[in-house]
Amino acid sequence: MKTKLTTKDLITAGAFGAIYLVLLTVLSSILTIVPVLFLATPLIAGIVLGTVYMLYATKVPRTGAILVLAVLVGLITSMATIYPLIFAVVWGIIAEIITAKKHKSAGALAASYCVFNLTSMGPFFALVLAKDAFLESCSAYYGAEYVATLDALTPSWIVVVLIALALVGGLLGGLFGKRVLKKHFVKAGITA
Amino acid sequence: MNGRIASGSLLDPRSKLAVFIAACFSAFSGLTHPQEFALLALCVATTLLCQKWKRAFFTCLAFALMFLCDLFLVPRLSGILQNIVMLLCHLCRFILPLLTAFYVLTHTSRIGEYISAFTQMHLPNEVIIPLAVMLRFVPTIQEEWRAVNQALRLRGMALTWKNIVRRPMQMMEYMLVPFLLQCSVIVDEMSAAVMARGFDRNMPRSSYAEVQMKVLDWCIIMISTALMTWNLCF
Repeated sequence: MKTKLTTKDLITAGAFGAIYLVLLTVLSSILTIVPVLFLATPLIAGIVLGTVYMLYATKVPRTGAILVLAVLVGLITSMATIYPLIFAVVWGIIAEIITAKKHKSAGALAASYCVFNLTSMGPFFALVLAKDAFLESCSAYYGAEYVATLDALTPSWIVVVLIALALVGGLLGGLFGKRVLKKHFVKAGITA
Repeated sequence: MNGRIASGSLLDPRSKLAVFIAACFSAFSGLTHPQEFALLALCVATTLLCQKWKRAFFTCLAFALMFLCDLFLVPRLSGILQNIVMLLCHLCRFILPLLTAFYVLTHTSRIGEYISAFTQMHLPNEVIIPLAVMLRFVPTIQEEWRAVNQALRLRGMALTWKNIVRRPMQMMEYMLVPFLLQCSVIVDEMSAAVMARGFDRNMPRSSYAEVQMKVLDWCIIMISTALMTWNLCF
């Protein structure tokens, strides 16, 4: 197995990055309408995007492929602050370490997705690190009532819940992706 | 231009990218009314420069509608209805310039123009290719998604709220699997096409679609930068 990223791999990375990001953006913009669902974004996005991630990682079994995806996700989610990008790179590296040397194992990939899904928490780091500023800018968009609900829903320990949600979402998404991969994609022969 | 064709649009992809980045940063930093107007004007101007007349018109129309609703309708409503209308008018209005800039970025340049522009910026291949492919792939995603949804609707499984709530897992599988299968085939075809153009050689490439920064581009980039600093600092 070659370890260097070829041009073909880079193209696949770009395309799947686009799919991942478009789905993530659409999902999170639909979910923001209700405050409770807004906080559940890591869970729901994780479940839906798990399949995309699994297919991508199986299609490009090279070191660095996951990191490229993580950087792309980080770039887009870090529109307001720089933190999501930094965290995305960290999660990407951890996910790389988990899958190192066993790129063909779906189990390892599912486990790495668990970590990778923490990137979808990007926007929430703002909520944790600078809650007041975040809520203030939120009230400009959504109105005071929404912010009040959001404020009531997010005590300081919420970050633990969010991380847990992201991990559970990653796990479910990874397992679902693994099943779908086995049921459809391997049979169709496109994971080769 | 030495026998090569000039790109069809008046603008360089880089200036479109600058507008998009400005819109991103501004839209998420909270805007006052004059800032909002300036941002929208910039985005609409780029849309017009790319000869997307209809799109520009509808963007303005939507903005005007939302703005008027926000001014006159929201104070008169109350309760949950006010919330919904406010959300629609407010949130969508903030996102509108962003969407417009994104549309211009993804729908009005060909992949060759991106690659040529990024190459001129002396970026490494590892950055150019994923970025260019990503921008090029967005219209394809929309197309494929629509096709899959149409096929599902024909069989009574369209992506509706009712179906999502009633059988979420099944819906997800039915949407995602054909969609990803299609995309994956397209990716393979695209990489074959790129190989045929000799991307994996370690030589400087020449490009069919030559792009050049003109005065107009510099103006747009300057305006975008100015707008961004204005929005971020005040």
